Amino acid sequence: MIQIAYGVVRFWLNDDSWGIIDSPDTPGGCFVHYSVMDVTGYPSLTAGQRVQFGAEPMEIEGVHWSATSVTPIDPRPTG
Amino acid sequence: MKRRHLLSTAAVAVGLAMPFHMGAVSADPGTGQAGPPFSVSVAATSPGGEYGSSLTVSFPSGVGSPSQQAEVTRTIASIASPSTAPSRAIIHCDKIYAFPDSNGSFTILRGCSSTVAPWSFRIAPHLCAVAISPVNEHGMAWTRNGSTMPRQAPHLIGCTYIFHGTFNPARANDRVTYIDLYDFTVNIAGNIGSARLTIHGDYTYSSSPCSPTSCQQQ
Repeated sequence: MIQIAYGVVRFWLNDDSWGIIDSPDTPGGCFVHYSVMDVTGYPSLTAGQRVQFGAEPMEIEGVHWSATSVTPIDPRPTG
Repeated sequence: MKRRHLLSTAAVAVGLAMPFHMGAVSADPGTGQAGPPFSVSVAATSPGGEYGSSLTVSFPSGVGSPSQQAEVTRTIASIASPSTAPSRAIIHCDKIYAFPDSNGSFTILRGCSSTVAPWSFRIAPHLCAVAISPVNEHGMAWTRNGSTMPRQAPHLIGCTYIFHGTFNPARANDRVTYIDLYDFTVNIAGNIGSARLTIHGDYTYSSSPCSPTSCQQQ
């Protein structure tokens, strides 16, 4: 279990509302589902966005980690 | 965390089904060996019945003496004891809805400009604590405005998995019903049983996001 890690969004699937975060703490990537996101309004991430997150080991969507919480730490990139 | 828990359970029905066949009773109360088939069901539903889940645990070989049966029943009822929360059957857009009950937590989300609605379900940790096998999720079955939609993909995976999928399409004013089954083996007080967790729901997507007053109870 990882309490706090920092990473960058690799991709985010808008329709399915999940994506993958890359971080040295979660080799291979970390699954993130909208249901664990700490946001106001509609939950969404963008590739390249930095996030703070917690994670637990889980085989899901081709990676070995699943986020237990996710908080964006900078605005979504534009353009 | 801005989301609020909307649905949950308001009533619990503990059903004890003991199909005793007296001629076949072979239980040994002293050793807790095989006896008549024994099962316990616990249902948790919202006040209006819009959402809920049920857990049935079956012990085909029995669980031994009546006192052991009572202990297993108490344990399962304790695992599946309900919580309470307001319930509504309207899903406003741009809002994460979480419907937790004692068996797990279901979430649903639809963006105001979206035509799909992703969902998730996680089995409650205390239920996973007694699971001793992977979970066989049958695949989400659902209807849209009364029409049966294609069943979503099944999974055979560990209990703590985030089961997830997408209701597609999902348009404003659509009425959706859903049901999904999760089968796994449990060990309760040394008794090996088969658990079936059923989740179900019935809701309508609103075309509007929450107003300052429309989601006050959620």
